[in-house]
Amino acid sequence: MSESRGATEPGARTLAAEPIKGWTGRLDLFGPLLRATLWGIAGFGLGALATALLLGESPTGERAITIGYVIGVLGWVLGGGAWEAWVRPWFGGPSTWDEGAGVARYLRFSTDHKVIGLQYLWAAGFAFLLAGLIAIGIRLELLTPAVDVFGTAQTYTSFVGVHGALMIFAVAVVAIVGGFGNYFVPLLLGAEDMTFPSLNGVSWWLVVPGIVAILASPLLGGFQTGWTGYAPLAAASPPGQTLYYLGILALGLSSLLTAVNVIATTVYLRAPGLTWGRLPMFSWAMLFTAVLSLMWLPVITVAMFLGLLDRLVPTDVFGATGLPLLWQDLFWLFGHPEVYIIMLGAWGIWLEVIPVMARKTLFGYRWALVGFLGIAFLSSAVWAHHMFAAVGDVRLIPFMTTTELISIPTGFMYLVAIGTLWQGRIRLTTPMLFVLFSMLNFLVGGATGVFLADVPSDLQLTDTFFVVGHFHYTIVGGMIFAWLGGLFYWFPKFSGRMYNERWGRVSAWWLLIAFNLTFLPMFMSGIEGMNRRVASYLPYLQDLNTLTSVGGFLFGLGFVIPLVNLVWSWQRGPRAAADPWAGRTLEWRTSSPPPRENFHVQPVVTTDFYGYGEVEPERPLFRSPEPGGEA
Amino acid sequence: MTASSGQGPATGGAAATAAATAAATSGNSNDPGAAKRLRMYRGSFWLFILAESFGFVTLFSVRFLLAGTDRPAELNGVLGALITLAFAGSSVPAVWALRAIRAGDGEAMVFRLQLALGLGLTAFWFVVADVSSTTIAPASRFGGSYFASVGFHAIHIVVGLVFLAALWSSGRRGRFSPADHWLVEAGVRFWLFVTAAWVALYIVFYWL
Repeated sequence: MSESRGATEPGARTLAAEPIKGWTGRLDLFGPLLRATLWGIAGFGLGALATALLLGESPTGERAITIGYVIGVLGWVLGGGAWEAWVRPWFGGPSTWDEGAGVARYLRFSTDHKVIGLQYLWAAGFAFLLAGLIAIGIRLELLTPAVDVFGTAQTYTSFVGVHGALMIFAVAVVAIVGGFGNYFVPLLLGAEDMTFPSLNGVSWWLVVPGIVAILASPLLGGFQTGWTGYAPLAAASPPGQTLYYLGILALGLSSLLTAVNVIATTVYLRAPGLTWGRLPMFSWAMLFTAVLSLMWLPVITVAMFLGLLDRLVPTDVFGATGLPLLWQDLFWLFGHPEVYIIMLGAWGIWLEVIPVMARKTLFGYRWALVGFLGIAFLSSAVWAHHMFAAVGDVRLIPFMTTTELISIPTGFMYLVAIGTLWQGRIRLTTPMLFVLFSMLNFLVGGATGVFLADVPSDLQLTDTFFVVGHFHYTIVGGMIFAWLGGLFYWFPKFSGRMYNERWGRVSAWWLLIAFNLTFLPMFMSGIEGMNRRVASYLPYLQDLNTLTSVGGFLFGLGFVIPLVNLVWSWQRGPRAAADPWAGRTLEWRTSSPPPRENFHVQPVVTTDFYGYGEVEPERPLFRSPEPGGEA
Repeated sequence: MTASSGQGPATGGAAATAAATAAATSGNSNDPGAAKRLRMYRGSFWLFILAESFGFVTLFSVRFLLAGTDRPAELNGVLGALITLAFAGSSVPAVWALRAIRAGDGEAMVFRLQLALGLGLTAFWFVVADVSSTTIAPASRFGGSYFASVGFHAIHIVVGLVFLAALWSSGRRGRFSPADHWLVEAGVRFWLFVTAAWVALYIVFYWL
């Protein structure tokens, strides 16, 4: 591997403005991305044309598009730099890839887990923005009972599907695991990089085509199934359904590569002295997440593959000949563990931030582990609770039982979090606020989940906005809030700058209030009969929907504050110290941002990371709530 | 990749005799970091295999869920057996290629990889012939799971063949040594997995 120029500057600012002079400078910056796009488009065109000629079909047919997509993804990945950095040396050729410096590093193939982590963060942020804009469109549509914004009910359903698929597969499972997982797992472990840096680089380059495929699906008529892709509706959907399968296959492969890397790195690359009993909470969370991904992603990969073949060959696995319900089983066999793939990382962030901000020893480290383990086990045995309205009686009681059981290990997370907060010297910084709000929101999401786990009430509530409210409370209220908390908590580490604390707190409160204004009325409208995925409703539901829509607009607007805060601070914020929060985990034991090799000297761990004082909380190391000023 | 040359017995021709000792001494590098890295790569490789196995287990379950143990008369048992034979035949030189590089015989490795590639391509050709000639209806219960499983496996064949071709290509340029040949090991092991997955598929679809 040829080391990059950026590797030699330990204090290099990640967004430092490169002197761009004329055409060559710009080419240096955007060249790889441009080439990746060109190779991707060329690959897509060639693949689609060749398939069309071979099969004597239209080049815009689904088979031609599928083959074109596969070759286009290859072209995109290789064009971004994987060709010089990985594939050509693999075949015995020279390795001549320059990983670049400054901003250029983020716009090309990289093997640096920190660059990849930030690439994941901005890709997830971008997908979040786009899917969020679609959500604004959805709320505009539901502002009135009639179908007026999207034109037809089918267009509305298509965009609901794009919103859901992007938010789940390109934001929720990517933002924490891909972003923070990549950036911080090696740092927390005191490692130099991931086990397979090249595969790690490839994994991000698969995310972008995945997002593009889902975004492009409305061009081919969209998909009518929503993000869950239920059969047999999927078979009758427009060709956009094919792009749904392809996009999720690409995103799934990317997550699988990340999962292998996270497990291998945790098992093999821990610093000397970092025993399993001392592993930081966020590392544990990522490890369990990766194990769940590794076990269940192949199942949904196969499901997507079978669904794709049902359209392309066509086979009839999920149609009238086969078993339409099998799709639901295969989908939720992954889909429910996925809820915990999303949430485990958020809990990891809770338990990292809380001891640092409360200056108190983590309460019940082992209980948290038991909780993680219990959730990982039980989450693999609850999937049929998504199908209560569709399956036979024999599956109702067992799955109701396992689903309600899972609240016990989930409760351990609260036990540990509250036990640590108890009598702590809590610093209500922005990350802490977001974590506390995440706890609050997830509590509402979890409590309303009990009604959905309970068969009699679920049969009433299924497919209503009650369900929509419930999973938005867990995923947006729980995971996205924790993600924002993590962004602010680790911002000084990956940018080397401090964000604006006052605006950070304002955004936390704004988002909390607007979030609850948006999603709390959904429970009520759901109980009163508001169906999900339907563009129109009866006039008696007008008031609750108006409330939700207004809340939704405020909620969307609220994200402008942290966006501006972080982008502005990245360039203008005061310099951050290596350890602005007086944390003890290893990522704070190196400069902000860390050098290419993470640690100049291999760290050796001699004690656990959460010993802030057993009985009395430790005195804060500084009084000022503005930690940026301290050095 | 740090290639520390000068390790292991570089005995050009007598690969067969050196193979036994090389198997015992492989990875006995003086650099403890290298041994640790090799252990890490091996362990991590099993994670991939584990994940892929879950995919095949899912597909095989679908076969039994959809079609029970039914087998249509149109199934071409002869071609199925030929594919199995070709895979088995191809994995033998693949393993021998790994032994050759452990014994330091780069030329023998390249030749054996060539054999493995040739037989692997033959197996792939048989698979294509089977899928394109069969009269099993794709839209039937057996057909759906059969085509999906063979197709899913075919993706693995392509990956495995590209991997072997990459090893062959860089082996010809002398990129591997007894001390540094993890990629060869990974490629050969992946190819063994492809073979094993086909054998499992053969048993599930042609026998049961």
